[in-house]
Amino acid sequence: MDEVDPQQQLEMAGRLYEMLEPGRELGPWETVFTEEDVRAWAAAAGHEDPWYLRRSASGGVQCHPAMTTPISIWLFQEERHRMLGEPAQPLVGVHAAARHHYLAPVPINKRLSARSKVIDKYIRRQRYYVVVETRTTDEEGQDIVHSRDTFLLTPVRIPDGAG
Amino acid sequence: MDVTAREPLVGAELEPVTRIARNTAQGKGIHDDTRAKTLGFKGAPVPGVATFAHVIDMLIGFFGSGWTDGGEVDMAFTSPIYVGQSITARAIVREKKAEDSGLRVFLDVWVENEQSQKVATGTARGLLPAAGRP
Repeated sequence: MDEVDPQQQLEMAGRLYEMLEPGRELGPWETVFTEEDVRAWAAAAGHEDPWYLRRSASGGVQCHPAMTTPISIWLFQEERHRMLGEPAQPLVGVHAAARHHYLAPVPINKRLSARSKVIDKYIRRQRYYVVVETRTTDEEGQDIVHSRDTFLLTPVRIPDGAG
Repeated sequence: MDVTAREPLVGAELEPVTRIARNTAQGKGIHDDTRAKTLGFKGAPVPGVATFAHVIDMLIGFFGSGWTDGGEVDMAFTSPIYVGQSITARAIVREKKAEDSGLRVFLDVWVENEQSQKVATGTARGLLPAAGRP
């Protein structure tokens, strides 16, 4: 566990907010979900005998659609690290909202590719927010999920009169 | 699958799904107890991803295979959820529209805690496949 200092968190969030302009592209990010990943996901979630681990007539284990939810987070974190370098403490943000549109079953043992774009940023209730859209496709280029995620860069509030 | 056999009424509630919240990202980012407390939380909040998955489970229970044929969910995580809390995903049918491939159902969805406080709110829509479709 790395210690965090609220003042430093706010300083990093402000710097990132200034740099992340709408239109900035993130990625690509590639990943493959295996049967092992699906089982690990079920174990972490505490799902016992879930539908997606039962062998279906058309095949075996399936990916839970929500397994794609972290993809935009991974992409955003990767970009955040690239922009902030190696800070003494990690910037700790919060996933504030998610809109996901599922267009096809999430394939197993096949490469998924995702690209994101910053589409908006704003300050609300003295906090920094960034909105990112992500398109995830399979190996053939078929759309699997389109998502829009809102990230609170830090829960630390901007002091009155600043920013 | 015969959609008419389970066509919902506007205002009807889907079968709620209750679970005990788990921290699926223990120690990462804000999902670390000490870090979260330093930043004003009571403890490590459960990831929004886990809450989102909970809602999707409820929706898949209702829509079945139709969920991956255009299912869409839009949620705001409005209050932190902590490990061990009992949370319930709920949804009410707001509107429905017939399409060639089935019935498109629009829902208001939310997640509430043991005190019946809404901790995530949003909307969803999905397709109940027409008869004869998988």
